[in-house]
Amino acid sequence: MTARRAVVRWAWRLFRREWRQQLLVLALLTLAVAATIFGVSATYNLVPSADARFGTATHRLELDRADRRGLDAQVAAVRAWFGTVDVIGRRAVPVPGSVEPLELRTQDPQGAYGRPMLALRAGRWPSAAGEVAVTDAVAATLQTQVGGTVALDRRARTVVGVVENPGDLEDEFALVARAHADPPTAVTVLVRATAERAAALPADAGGRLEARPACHGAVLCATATQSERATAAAGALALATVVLLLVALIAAAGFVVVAQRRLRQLGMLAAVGATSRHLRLVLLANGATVGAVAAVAGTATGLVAWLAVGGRLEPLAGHRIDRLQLPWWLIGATMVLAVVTATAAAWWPARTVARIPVTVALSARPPRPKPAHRSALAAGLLLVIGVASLAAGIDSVHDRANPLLVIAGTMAIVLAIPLGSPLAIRAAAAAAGRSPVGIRLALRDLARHRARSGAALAAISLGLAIPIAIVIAATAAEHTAGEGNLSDRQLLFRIGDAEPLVPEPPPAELERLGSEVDWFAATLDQPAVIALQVAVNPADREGRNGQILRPAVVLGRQVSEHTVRDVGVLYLATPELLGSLGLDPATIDPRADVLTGQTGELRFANLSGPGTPPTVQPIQLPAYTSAPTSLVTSNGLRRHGWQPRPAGWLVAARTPLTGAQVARARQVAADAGMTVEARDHQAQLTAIRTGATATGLLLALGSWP
Amino acid sequence: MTAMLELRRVSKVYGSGPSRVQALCEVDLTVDGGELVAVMGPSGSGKSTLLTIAGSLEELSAGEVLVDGSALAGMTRNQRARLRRRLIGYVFQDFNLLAGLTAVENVALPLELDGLGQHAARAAGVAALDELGLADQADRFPDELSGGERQRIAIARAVVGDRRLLLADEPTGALDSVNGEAVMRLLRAACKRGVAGVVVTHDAQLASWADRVVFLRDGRAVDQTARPPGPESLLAPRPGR
Amino acid sequence: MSVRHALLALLSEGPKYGLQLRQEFESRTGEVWPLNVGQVYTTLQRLERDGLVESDDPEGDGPQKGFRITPTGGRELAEWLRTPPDTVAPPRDELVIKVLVALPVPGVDVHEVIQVHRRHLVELMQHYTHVKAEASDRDVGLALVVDAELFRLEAVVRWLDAADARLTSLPAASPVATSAAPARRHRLEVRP
Repeated sequence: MTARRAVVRWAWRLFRREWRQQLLVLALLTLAVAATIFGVSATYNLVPSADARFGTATHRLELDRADRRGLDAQVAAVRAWFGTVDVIGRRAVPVPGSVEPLELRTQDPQGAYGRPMLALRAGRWPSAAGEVAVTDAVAATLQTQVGGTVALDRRARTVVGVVENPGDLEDEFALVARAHADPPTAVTVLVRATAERAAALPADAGGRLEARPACHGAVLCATATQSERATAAAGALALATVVLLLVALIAAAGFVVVAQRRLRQLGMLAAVGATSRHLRLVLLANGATVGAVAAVAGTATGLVAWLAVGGRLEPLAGHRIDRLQLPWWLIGATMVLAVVTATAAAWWPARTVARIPVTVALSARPPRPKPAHRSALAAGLLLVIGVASLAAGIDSVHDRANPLLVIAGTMAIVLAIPLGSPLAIRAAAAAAGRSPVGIRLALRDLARHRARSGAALAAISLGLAIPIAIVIAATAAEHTAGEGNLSDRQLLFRIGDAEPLVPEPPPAELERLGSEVDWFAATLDQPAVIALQVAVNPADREGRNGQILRPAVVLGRQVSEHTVRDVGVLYLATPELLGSLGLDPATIDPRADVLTGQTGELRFANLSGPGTPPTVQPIQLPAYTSAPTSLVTSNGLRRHGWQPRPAGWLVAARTPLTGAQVARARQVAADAGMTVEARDHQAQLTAIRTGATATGLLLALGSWP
Repeated sequence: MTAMLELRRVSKVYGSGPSRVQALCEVDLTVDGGELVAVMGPSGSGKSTLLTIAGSLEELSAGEVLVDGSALAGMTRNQRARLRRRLIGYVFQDFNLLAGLTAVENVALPLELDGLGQHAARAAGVAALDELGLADQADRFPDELSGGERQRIAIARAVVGDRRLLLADEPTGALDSVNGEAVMRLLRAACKRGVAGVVVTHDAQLASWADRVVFLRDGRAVDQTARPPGPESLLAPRPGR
Repeated sequence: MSVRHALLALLSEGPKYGLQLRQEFESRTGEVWPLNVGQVYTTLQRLERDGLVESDDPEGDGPQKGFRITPTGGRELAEWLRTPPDTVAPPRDELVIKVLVALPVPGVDVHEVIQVHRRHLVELMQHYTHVKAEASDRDVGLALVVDAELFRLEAVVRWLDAADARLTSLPAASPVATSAAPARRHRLEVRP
């Protein structure tokens, strides 16, 4: 209709003239859109892809027959069933000084389905005998580089290249040419087939079949990776929608201010014969324009930010990121969402303004502000809910945080602030009675033009809330980091390499080992070295490779009639160890045999003879699985007739250990004939991922400039 | 011939209880096409209220208002808006024009709101401006024009498209006497063409441009001037030449 | 009204005859103030006696007598043009007196008195405005004279409005004259 076109034309002209008056709302919306685009792109790319384990295959078959001939026959049978297959061979070889074995992998870089799992970073692929390519962490552990030599599996090999699994940067292995490799101990076969075909695999060719996730088994999914990522990114968008809603609230306040500024002109328009619908259209068109401008500017900003930062997120993600691989349709949806949100935000102010009588509009008097009681009540309620949610969400005792509660609590507090603002402003204006004229004028004006103040306060509160929320989430993330085998500042040196069997070195040897550990520890930042002892039954002993080994007493949990699950080696509760764990020896019950945080039906295990129930005193210890979690008291030792034996040393530094320090520890342990255990990478990453999720959400809230 | 504007025993009350204000009390007014009526009175006498009620911008408390024979009371909001688009032209003291539109777009606004196409509306607007001698200001924005030009453009908007009721509230209030006189001449010229005009003013000089002056006091019409006799009676008889 | 000086002004344009002077005066003032021939000649004689004009033939006395302005006359004219009129005591305005005396008279609504006069004045103004409206654009003289009258009438209307407002704000039953006397009434100075 021509009338609508005329109205929209005027609205657009007004926007062009007065856009600076709406800078606040524009900036906020742009920021929200930019953060959403960044968050969506990041989520899309941070999601680990199944490519790391499946390549382009739909199924993985793990074959692990003990003998080589059986394995070959199995592979042949699988190949016969499926046609094209890609075979990956694995063989675990020990690494001197390290607890973890190294995987020697044979895989064809040009394989049918496995290509996305291999990438060459430096040098070349191994082709001849005695050639090996390693991943970067392996190179660091073995302290080698391209051109160097390493001894693996009792053979010297030349390092010809550095490789990686682009889909999983934490996948550490050494690649050798299949033709010159030793027979593998396990084989993985990658196939592409429908679920029915895979399920119908004959038994003699069978192994453990694993289907690619997000394929739902039914259809041969071609774009499985895409759909996994898209789902995650869509989830991020859904989260961002919630944030956009928050921004819409503030935008609505901003549009109320715009409507009031234009009240006189709108009255004039009505006097000339515009209907309420035309008047509403003016403000809705303004909202849509703001949304469109914010959508374009925000998308551009978000994309630029992503392109700039995206590459650096690879260590966080644990896989390679292609910055240009973006969910374009989701980005388009975000832009549309921004326009829709802004228009929707303008709807209620538009409706209110259109209902004002023409004569009132023409006189441009500010409307009488609503009483502050109701909104103050709502603000108080939200504040209470918010604080309660936060308190429930962060459980500092168990070092856990429930992200949902934390987020809900933060949002409740953020919402409470603009609702409480009218009361705060009234109070401020009342208190301003004695202040200088300038301040008094400003405060009284704010109090009268409630809408203007509401918008300003809401924007300020949102801006303040963001750093607060980031701090809260970071704390929450920190609290979820108490997992893993050891903390990032601990190293566990063990005498021998066959836990829970402990060798009995002669005292001179023991002293040498001890001094090696002390010498190494001296290179760390404020180190603490604690000697660890285990309990052994003097009657039990085993011989292996000419060595006498003693089985250490282990704490177990009875999980069924005949099964006792191992929950941890019992370390002797020496005053040293107790002190380092923050326990007071005086608080120990003399009747207690075992100090542990474990619960359930506990038994002694790894003993000859029946497993007897210990007398347990419960204590709180950090949950690192390899550090001492269960202690045996000296009284308990005496009661059961056990003897203490040295088992190793626990070294703790004040600051997190660097990769170089860990590598040096491995070297020291290897040279001395010990093993050393450090924090497992996987655990580290889980903690980081939790933090990343929370941070990603907060990025969507908009970063504080 | 039915009068263009008829107010019958119109009353308007604002507020209630202790803050009750009687703005108008049983006012009768009839304005025919071609007649220019001035409404004079001190501030608070209800003259502006009279105009807003006549212009369908405000509801009355009692009485009847008929514009071109149809009563305003039975009309919906949209019908009244249509009246303002097609029949009634309003001129305010100041801030008549919309800032984002050019002069001719302002003049053509009621036509466009009524659904007339952009080109036809512009043609009508230019024609209206031309009559007032402002054709070369057509594409300027209001903030580039002087106060007098703005008021004249407001009048052009109030008469564009064969409007027949023109309501002006202190149209010369913000102008000097020269511009004020120009505006009044324009109003008179419009009324000569058949438009019924009502001008609210406190300025006697400007009211004297009208055919009839109605005096308002405390919401009541207390007096009105008679039709003026011809100008000849004023001048002293000339000695024969 | 200073006919003397008006004639001087006309003569400053150049020598003129008596009749010519009268004609020009009337046409320049929109024919609102007709002049008597006798009045013109009397004034010219006085001007000649004062040395402000001179005639061709001091003794003669006919319609063909021409007159000229003298340098003295020129200076007199210049000074008159530049000198604003003296401030004089407010004239004994009949209207003002009416309002003042009407106040304490019982049974008389002063506001009504004021309204009657207001209406009359506005009607007068309407007449003058219509004259101005009908007149040609080039008749500047007429416009000036009419404007002068309009402004004068408007001033009176405005005084009536002010009086109306002042009287409205008075409490009902105390006329001006018997209000508590102010400390001292200042006499309005009258300068000659």
